[in-house]
Amino acid sequence: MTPTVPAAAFLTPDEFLAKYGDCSGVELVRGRVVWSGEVPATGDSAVPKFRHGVTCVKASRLIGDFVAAHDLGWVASHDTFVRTTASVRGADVLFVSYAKVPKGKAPEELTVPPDLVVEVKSPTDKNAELFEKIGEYLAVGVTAVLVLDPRLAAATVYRNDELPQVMHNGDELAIPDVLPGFAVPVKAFFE
Amino acid sequence: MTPTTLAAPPALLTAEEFFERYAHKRAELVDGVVIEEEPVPAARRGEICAEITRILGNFAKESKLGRVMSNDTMVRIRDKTVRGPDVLFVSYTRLPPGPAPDKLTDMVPELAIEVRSPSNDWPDIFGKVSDYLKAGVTAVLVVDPEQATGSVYRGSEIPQIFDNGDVLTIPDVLPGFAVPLKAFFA
Repeated sequence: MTPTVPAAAFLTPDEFLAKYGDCSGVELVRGRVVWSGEVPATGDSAVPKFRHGVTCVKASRLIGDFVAAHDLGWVASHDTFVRTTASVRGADVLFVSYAKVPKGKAPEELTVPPDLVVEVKSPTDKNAELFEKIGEYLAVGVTAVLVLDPRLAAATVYRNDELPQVMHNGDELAIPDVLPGFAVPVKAFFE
Repeated sequence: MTPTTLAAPPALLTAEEFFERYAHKRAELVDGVVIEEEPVPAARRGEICAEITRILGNFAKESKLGRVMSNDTMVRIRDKTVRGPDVLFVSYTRLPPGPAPDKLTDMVPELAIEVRSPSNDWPDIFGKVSDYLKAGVTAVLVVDPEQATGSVYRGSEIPQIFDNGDVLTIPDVLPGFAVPLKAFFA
């Protein structure tokens, strides 16, 4: 008889992915299952509001168009699971280069840290949780984390070795270390 | 299928156990695990911590708003997590005037300040910022001597960046406080 962990008390990343691998709006945060927003009474995943969904699609399209035009790699959306040291996070949008995940048929699971993670902040997202998530992404090897805040029409880029870079509505967003040549007005993400 | 079992967990400490054993050592408790801090700061970092404490402490005394504490004063984040900011400000509203308690308290400062050392990675710093905000700290100031910058993190705003030429203000926590950032590095 193998020792068992009390149900739903503490999951390993593998256990989490086996149980919740097809869900969105849910993450494993240091062993605990955390649903985004309010815990849904029905057990279904939390559904984002319109502006959040629109901004996610804009980011997927703007970054995806550039990546496709230059044949750089993969863009994934819809809370794609990213393993960090202590957790399994769901990225709103991510980019991973062909250098890390070769071109061809997409593997079922992403097993390497992506180059870029995009998080769209919703009004219920607290910065305390957001900074924890950003810290985990960077610690595991994500090069840059882009946070889009539709309420403030601002974009902030976080990296491992420098101050957050804050860009407002009139600025141009570039992430040269991840997407060389990519330059889009910040407001394109919010209009 | 092989059943998954968790590795034998290290002995996790509660905040109280941590305080009993580590009250006078340089360490933090994160989710029950003791994280030993670098034993002693280099002169540059020590001096900057002292300058911040002096400048902020003078303001707090003169304005009679509250008090400033240094030397990694323990802040209980949750049951098994205790952090120690380099410098903190706590108002008299949250901790009334009089001698500060000589034990682990539920005191949550309004402002926590971390002075980044060259060995401090940003992921670690974001972990600390996250914990302070979760505990109810209003603003976290990260001072980076290397880049001569300050950045302020709050619960729902985007980070606010101050460069060497800027005047640092934190009006929601320290009304009336306005000091050139470079004063910290002088």
